[in-house]
Amino acid sequence: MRRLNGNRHFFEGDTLFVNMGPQHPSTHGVLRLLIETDGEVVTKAEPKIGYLHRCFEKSAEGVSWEGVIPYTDRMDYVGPIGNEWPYCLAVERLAGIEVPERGEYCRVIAAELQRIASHLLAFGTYGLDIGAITPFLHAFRDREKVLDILEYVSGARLLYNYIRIGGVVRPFDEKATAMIRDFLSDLATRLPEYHQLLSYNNIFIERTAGVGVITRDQALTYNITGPNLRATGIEWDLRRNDPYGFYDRFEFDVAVGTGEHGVLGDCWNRYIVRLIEIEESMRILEQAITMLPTDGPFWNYKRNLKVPPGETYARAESARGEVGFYVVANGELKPFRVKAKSPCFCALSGFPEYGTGMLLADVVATLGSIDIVLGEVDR
Amino acid sequence: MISTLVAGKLTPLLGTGPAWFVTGILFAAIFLAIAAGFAAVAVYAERKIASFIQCRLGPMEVGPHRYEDLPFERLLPAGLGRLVNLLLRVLGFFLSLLLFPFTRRIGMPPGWYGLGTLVGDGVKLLGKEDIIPREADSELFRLAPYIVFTATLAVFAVIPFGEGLVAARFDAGLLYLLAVSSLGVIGIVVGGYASNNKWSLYGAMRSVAQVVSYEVPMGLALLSVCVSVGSFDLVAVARAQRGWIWNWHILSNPFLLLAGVVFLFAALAETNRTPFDIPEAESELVSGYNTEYSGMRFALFFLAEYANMLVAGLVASLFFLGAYSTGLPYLDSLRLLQPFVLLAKAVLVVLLMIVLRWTLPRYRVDRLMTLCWKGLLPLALIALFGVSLVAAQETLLSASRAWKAAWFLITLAFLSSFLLQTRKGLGPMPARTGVPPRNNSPQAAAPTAVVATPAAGERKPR
Repeated sequence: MRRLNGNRHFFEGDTLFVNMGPQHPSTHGVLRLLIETDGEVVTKAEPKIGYLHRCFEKSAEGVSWEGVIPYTDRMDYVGPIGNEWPYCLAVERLAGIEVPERGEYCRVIAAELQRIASHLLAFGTYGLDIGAITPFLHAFRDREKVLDILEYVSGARLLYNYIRIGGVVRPFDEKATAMIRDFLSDLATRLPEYHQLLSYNNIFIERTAGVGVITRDQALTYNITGPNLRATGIEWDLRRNDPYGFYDRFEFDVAVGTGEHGVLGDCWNRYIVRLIEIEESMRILEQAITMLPTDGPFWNYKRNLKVPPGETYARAESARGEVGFYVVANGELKPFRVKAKSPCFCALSGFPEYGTGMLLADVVATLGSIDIVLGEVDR
Repeated sequence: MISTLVAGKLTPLLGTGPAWFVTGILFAAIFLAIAAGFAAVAVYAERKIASFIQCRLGPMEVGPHRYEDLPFERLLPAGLGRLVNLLLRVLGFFLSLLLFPFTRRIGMPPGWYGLGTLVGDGVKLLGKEDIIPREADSELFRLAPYIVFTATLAVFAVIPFGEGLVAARFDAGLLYLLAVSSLGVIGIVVGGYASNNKWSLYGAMRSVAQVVSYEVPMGLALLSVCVSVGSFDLVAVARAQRGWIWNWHILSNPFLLLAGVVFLFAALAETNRTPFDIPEAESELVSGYNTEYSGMRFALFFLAEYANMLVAGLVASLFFLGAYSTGLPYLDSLRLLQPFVLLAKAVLVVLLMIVLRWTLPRYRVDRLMTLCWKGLLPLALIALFGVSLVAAQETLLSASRAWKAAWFLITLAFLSSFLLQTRKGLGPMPARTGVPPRNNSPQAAAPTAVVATPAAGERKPR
C-alpha cells in the first residue's frame, strides 16, 4: 500500500470509483460511465456524455435544406436511413412537397434494409459484450450484403445520403431487388443459426435473463422508445401507431418482448425483440419489392428549395426508436432551427436508475442491450 | 541419459550426481522449447480455427508471396537455391493438404496461409517499447511475468513423456503438480496489483477467486485417479493405463469418467479460457491483469497462457486419457512413439479448448463460483466416493477380468448416452414458443395518451 503512493485513495474507503470509458471496449464508442463499485457490485453508474458532440444542430443552421441530410446521417451512423427519413418528412410537410409513389416504396425498402443491418450489428456486438466473439463475425458477414445493396443504390456503404427531400436519390432497380431477394433467402437460413449460437445458449440466457430490467413505468417516464420499449411488452411502433410513408400498406407485426426467458423488459427480451424485428422487416421487404413500381418518377426534386415560414415536428421509427426532428423555417434557403430528438439519449438517461445495483458484468450486459450509438446521443 | 532410455528403467533422467545441474539446465531448455514451440503452433491453430468457425480465412497475407522472392536463389549457388525452392514447393503442397478443411484450396497460396504472421508477432513483441507505467510498482511489475511463466514451466518436470522419460520422479508427484501449478496465480496477483490500474486489480482479484476455487474440484478429480491407482506418483499413474484401451482411466469406470469431465471444466477455469476467462474479460475489464503490460513482458504472460493450456492437456491425457499408451499393447513397445502419443493427446484436448473458446459466451463471476462450489465440487466428491468403492471392490472382492469388463461397459453406456444427449442439444432449434401476439389493427394497444397524427389520413389503406 505504501509503495503505490501515486494513488493513495486506491485502497481507502469501502467503495472504488472506476472510469469505464471513454476508451473502453464495451462502451460502444466514447461513452464514459463513472462507476462506483463495492467489490464486484456496482452501486452507482453515471453516464458522462458529450465526447462525440459535433454541433449538429448549429451546423444545420448554416447549410441548405438538402445539406442537412448528410449531417443527420452522422447522428446514428449505423442506421442513417432512419435519421434521414424524419428530417425529410418534416421539410416535405413544411414545403408541401409530395413524394412520388416509387420514391415512397424505395424509402420503405431502404429503411427496412437499414433496420436489418442495424439490428444485425446490435446482435453481433451484444454477443461481444457477453463474451462470444463468433456471432459478431457471422452478423457482419450478413450485414455486409445489406451494405452491398445500399451501396449499389446510393453509392455509399455507411452514410448513404439516400433519402432526399421529395424522394430518393436513386430507385431500387431490377438488379437491386434481385440482390434483396438473394439476401432475404440467405438470412432466412441464418436466423435459426443465430438462435442456436446465441439466443438460446444456456450461458447467454443466464447472463441476460432477468438482468437490467427496465419496467414499463421507467420506460414511459424516460420516454424510452423502440425495441427497448417494446421489450417491456408495450406494443408501440410508429410504423403502426403513427404511420408515415407507405407503412399502412404492409402487413407486419409489432415485435414485443416474449417473456420466454427472464422477465419483460430485461436484457434477453430487448435482445430477442431485435431478432424478431429482423424477421418482421424481412416480411415487409418481401411485400415491398413485389409492390415496387418498376418505372415512374422517384424524386420530386426542387432546385434551390425555399421553405415557407413555419414549424413542425416529424418523427419516424428508426432501428433504435423514435427519431424526431423539430424544424423551424423562416422562408430562407437554410433552416432557421433543427432540433433532433434522439432515442438513444432517452434510453441512456435512465441508466443510473436501471443500470445499478448489479455486478460489473451485468452493467456491460445492460449497456449493450439498450443498443446505444453515441453519435446519436451526443449529436 | 541414453542408457536410461535404452534400459527403460524407471529412474528419473534428472540424476542425483554432480551432473544434476547440467541436466537440469538441459531439461529446462527442452521444456522451454516445447512450450514456446507449442505456443507458436497453438496461436496459429487458434487463429485458423477461429476464422474457420467465423466464416473467414484468418491470417493469409504475411509471408513470402512468391517462391522466387525468397532469398535462397540469391544466397545459395544457383542449383541449390532452386532445389530449396522446389523442396519448399513440395512442403507447401503437403501443408495445403493439411489445411484443406480450413482453406478449401490445394497448393500453397501467396502468403503461405499467413505463416509469417507468427514470425511477425514474435519480432513485434520483442521489438516493442517496454513500458512500465510511472506510478506502477516497477520491481513487482517486472517480477510478475516471470513468476507466472516459471510456475507453468516447472510443472513439466514431473510429467512422464514416456516410459522412463521423466525429468524428475517424485513419490508425491500429484502434490508437486498441484502446488506448483497454483503458484502462477501469485504472479497474476502481483502483476495486477503492481500495475496500479483498477481494471488490472479487478482482473487479479477475479483470478485469485477463480483459481483458488477451481483448485478444489480439480484436486479432487485428480485425487480420485490416485485412489484408483494407489499412488501419488505420476509414473505409476501412467503405467496403470498401459495395455488395452479399456485400461485408460476415462473408460475404466464411470466415476473416473465423471472425474475426467470435472477436471476438464476445472482446467478450463484454471487456464482462464472461455467460458471462464473472467480475469481477462475484454468486454468488462479491458484486458484484466495484463492491461498495462506490453512487449516482451506481455509475451511472457501470453506464452504462459498457452503453456498452461499444454500443461492442462498433458495432465488430462496423463491422468485420464491413457498417458502415453496408444490403447494397443503392440504399439506401446515402440518407445520412441510415446512422447508423441502423449503430446498428440494433449493437443487434442487443447483443440477442444480452442473450439469451446470460439463458441461459447462468458460466464458471470457469481455463476462461475456457483458452478464450482455447487456443481463441480459435489460431482468431484461423488467421483471420489465412487472410485473408492470400486477400489474397495477390487481389493476386497476381486479384480477379475469380468469385473473390469462390466465397469468398462457401464462406462461406455454412460459416455454414449452423454454424447447422444449432447448431439440432441446440438440439433436444430425448435421453433420459438413464445410468439409475440399477432395484432394487425393500426390502433392496437396505444400505451399512452399519444394519438396517431393524421399525417397518413388520405392514403389508401391496403
